[in-house]
Amino acid sequence: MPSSPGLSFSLIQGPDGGDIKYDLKEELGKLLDYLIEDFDVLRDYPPAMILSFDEAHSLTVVETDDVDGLWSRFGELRRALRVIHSYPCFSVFLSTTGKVQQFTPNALHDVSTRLQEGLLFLIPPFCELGFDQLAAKAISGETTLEHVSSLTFMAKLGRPL
Amino acid sequence: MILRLGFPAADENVRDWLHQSKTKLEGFTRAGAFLCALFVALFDYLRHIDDKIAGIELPVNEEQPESNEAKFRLLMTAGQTFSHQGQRRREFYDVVLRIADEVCSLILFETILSDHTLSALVTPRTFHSSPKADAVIPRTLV
Repeated sequence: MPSSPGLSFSLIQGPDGGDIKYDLKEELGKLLDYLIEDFDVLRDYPPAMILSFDEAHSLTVVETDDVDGLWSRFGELRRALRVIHSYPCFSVFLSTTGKVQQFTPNALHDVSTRLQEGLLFLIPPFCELGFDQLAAKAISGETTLEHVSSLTFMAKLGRPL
Repeated sequence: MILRLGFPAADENVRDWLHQSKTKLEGFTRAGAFLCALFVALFDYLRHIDDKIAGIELPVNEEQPESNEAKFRLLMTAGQTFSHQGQRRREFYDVVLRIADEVCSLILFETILSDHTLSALVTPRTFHSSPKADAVIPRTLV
């Protein structure tokens, strides 16, 4: 498994004289400790949290860096998310542009060297999902207008994610 | 997070903040700082969720949310229209970006080690003496 970057923002000294450190894994760990009883990062869990980036294609513009070459904000966000890949936190990138290759380009065209070399793989995109596949049935004589206008009913309409 | 025109309306401040990166290193730093700040702010919000949603008027026929997830969803959707997000949601992301910005803007020294570990050091005095930051970031976050 290729090494993943760690990411810490360290304050040299806090107001009480002690060191203060913002560490991505630690901050997420505190949150998951709160959300999951007896949370243990070494155990498997279904996603406890889903980060959704809607219309994220605006982050995929490829830029040129004099030092590091080609890069994109999406690529760097993906790299930062990889820091926490062992935590039950899943990310979804949504787009209505229909350009699938923006998020999952051919590996040879990706800005990540580890993807180009086949050391890492991307999850294939979910597309053409259709509508109302999880919608509850409205039964004549049983379903009320109040029910179909409730959040419980409406949350199952649209495209399932 | 919603980053572009459409419905629901974009979280413009988040989109603009993430777009400010000019180099690959800054892109990685900002992405990490944003996620870190998001988790810090979310943790604080969830612990005080009843205070955070106090005063929000529920839609007609909508029951008072009981779970933390439902309460947080209420906070993030209250006052949402086609043209803009609700006040509470904007306030949440303002807190997130203020934490992320304070961390990012005070980087004195950056280094990427041979194992690709990035460590960013910031000065504590400036971080903790910002009246603007103290006024907005909840005490539990400082």
